Amino acid sequence: MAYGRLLREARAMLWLHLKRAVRYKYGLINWGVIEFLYMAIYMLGALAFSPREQWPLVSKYVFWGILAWTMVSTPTWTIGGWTRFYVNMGLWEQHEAVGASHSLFLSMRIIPAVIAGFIGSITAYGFLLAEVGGGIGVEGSIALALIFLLWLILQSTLYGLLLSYLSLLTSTPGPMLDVLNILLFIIGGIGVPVANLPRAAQLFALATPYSHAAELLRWSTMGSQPYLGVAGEVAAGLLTTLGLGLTALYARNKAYSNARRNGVKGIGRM
Amino acid sequence: MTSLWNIMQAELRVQYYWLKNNKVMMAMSLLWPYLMVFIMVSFGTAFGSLEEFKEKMGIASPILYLFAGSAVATASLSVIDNAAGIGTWHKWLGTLPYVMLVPRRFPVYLLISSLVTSLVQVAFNLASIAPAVIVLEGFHAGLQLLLILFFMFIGTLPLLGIALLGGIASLLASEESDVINFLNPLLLLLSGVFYPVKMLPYILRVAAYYIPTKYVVDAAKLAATYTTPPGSTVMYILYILTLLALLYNALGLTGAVYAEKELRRRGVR
Repeated sequence: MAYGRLLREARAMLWLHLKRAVRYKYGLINWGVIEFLYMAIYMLGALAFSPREQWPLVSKYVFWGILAWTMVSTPTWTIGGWTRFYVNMGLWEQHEAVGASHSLFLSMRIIPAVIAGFIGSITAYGFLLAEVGGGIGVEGSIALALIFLLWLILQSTLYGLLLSYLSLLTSTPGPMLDVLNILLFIIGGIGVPVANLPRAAQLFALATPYSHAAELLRWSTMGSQPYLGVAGEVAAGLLTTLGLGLTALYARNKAYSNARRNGVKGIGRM
Repeated sequence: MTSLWNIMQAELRVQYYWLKNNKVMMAMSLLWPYLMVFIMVSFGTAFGSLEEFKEKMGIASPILYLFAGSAVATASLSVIDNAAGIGTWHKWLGTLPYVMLVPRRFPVYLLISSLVTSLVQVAFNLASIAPAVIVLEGFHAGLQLLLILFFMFIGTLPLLGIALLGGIASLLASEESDVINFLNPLLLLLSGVFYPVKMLPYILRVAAYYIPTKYVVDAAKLAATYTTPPGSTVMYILYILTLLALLYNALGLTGAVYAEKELRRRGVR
């Protein structure tokens, strides 16, 4: 019964988010362009630190690292940021009144986020290819690369929800709480391979979920050996993803109980 | 009649209370330029070196430049976000019709409130990096920041005109957010904060000459290279920024007058 209700809600919310994506089509295209432009800024910024003759090698790490981060940060920022819209527009109360799932509604924002992320990534690939002149294609399995990308998206959805719950508890917009997400790009082993990090950062990266999926993504696209080996990365990745999920669940219960007791407060302007 | 000072005062109060009532948000805003420097330096040096960056950018002090560049980048993002987003923000809250009913014309309200917000953000961003610059590069580098602050203030004026155009387009397109807020990273891409503009493809290199932030970045490079920057170059940058301010604000205000007329005619959707 509860399962059927959840499925109906999911269908309704999927319809809603797709409808919004079409209704705000210019916004969606604009979003994809923004993703591309930020990727280009970071790619050029990284290349500015390297001599031109090393660009073909460096650009591989740069592209796949930034792609992984885009797929991590876009859903996270979207879900975390949309919480402000959700609360300020009074959608929280409406969902609460009909008993619909807040988490499901917020997490469905990954649909436009992933579409925008892919538009940006494909364009950024072309841009980098033109800049460097080749050599950044997938050397391994495209299917495996997609699986690891989806894994990163799942992890970032969980993290985005965690930020949403923290937003509800602190009345601070999710992206402003997202400092850790930015730090993870470097010390979390997303943009930089774990093996290249200082020892302390390596230990930190191994304790986070993203580094494992990112290591596996680099393995599937560039053939670089994952830090813990393939089996080790899969096992550690599953374990840390579970830990993230449980933390999000704990924060959800805290945020819901606080909101139901005291009401939700407006979330600040950025 | 509502004076311009009333609008400025109201906007200053909004800014003050947003920060005062939300300490976490204030702390995070102070942290942003540091995060940007951390990301660019860590990511860049993981595959290259600071020496190579210094050579490519043609600067003497990469630390001062990177901090100043990050503050310029963060500030220009804030200017565009605030100025272009103010209309859609009021639309979300349902206060846009009321704002349009204030005795002052809508374009005047947009320009003045955006100007105040932007100047506060610019000063806030530069103040956030000042301690790090003084500790790492010395008191003299802190003084160089004043030159950069001056150019950031001047550079804000043409950016406002561009932002007004963006905000107006969003209101007229009846979208939920700024439909042309891709302008924000585009301006950042063209300004060459973290790489030399010559790394861009030809057409983007040409476009960069019409972007105000590029000249503010040039001023930051001067400050990070010379103890006393050459007067002729400083004057040249000032001259270009003034021209761009006149051009973009004329366009922005004309667009805002048109938008006001259209929104009054067809209502806010």
